[in-house]
Amino acid sequence: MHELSVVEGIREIALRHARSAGASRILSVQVVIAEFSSYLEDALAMFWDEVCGATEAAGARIDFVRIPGEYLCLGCLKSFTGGGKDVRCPECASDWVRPIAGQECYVESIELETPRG
Amino acid sequence: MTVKTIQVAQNVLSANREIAEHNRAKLNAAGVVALNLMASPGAGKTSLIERTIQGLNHRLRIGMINSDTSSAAMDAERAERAGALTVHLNTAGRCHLDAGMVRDALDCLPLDDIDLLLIENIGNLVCPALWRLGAHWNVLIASTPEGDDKPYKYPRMYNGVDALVINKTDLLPYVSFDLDYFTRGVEALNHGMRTFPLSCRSGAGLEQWFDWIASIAVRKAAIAR
Repeated sequence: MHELSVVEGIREIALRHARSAGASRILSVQVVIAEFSSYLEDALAMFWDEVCGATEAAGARIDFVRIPGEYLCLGCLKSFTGGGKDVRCPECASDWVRPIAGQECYVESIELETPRG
Repeated sequence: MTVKTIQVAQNVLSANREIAEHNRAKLNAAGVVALNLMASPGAGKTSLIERTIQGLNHRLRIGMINSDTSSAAMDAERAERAGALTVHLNTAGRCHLDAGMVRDALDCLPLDDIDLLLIENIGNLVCPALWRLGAHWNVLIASTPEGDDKPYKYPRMYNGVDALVINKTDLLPYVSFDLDYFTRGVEALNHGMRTFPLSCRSGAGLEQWFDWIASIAVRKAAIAR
């Protein structure tokens, strides 16, 4: 259910930028979701149309860009991406690893329609 | 009509973060130290809060924001009976508190008459870790019957808190909870975190918890002066 709060955050960011750019309509938003962020695309998309209701974002598309998470091997101190269930370092095969990046979720860009160039 | 794309690169939680900063500034101005208490359902949040209020209300003036997903205010009533000024938040089904809800609750509390604010989050080990409220300390209450694998299953929560309570230590002889295994998981995620093993039922370990809270509240009040 936390996806509802997240799409509200996305909508607020989009509306704020659209208004300061003098846009009449938001056509789409591009959202980056990293591998370990705990948001489900389907759930975000489901709430998106609903929260955009009667705003300048009504009818806007929401696009997702997935980026992989990153681990640090505490055995050989190399970092690597990729994962799955049984995460091991591709260099030394150690399973003593820690996630170091990949929890982010941010609005990368917004496509706007403005009355004049 | 022209179509253009603007680059934003703004975290989806940035709006919440701004409100959280505003909450913290408001608490700082009033000299209040705030704890955001998070736990799974049944870990003993309300019992710990009750004991904490009883144990500290002769030393500190305590305020409390209690939250539930429904209008059932029985936990708030327990906190009020124990002696705290209490605001009850009904999240109407939402699985976490956010900074905006706390901002509204702060407006209902006489902050100048409070030294310590306890914020009881919704019982959930996932979402509350993501929404900062503006509290000074994020505290997780674990309990032994939940099992020793929780740090491994909820890394984000264990990684994102500043202090950990391990409640229901009186049940250790009866439940399968390997404290070493649990601690290894916690250490991997949050090295050197302040940890308070205690039992609300037997009272063991509560004094250390009270003393820690009292010490941070006193330090905070000194800074505010």
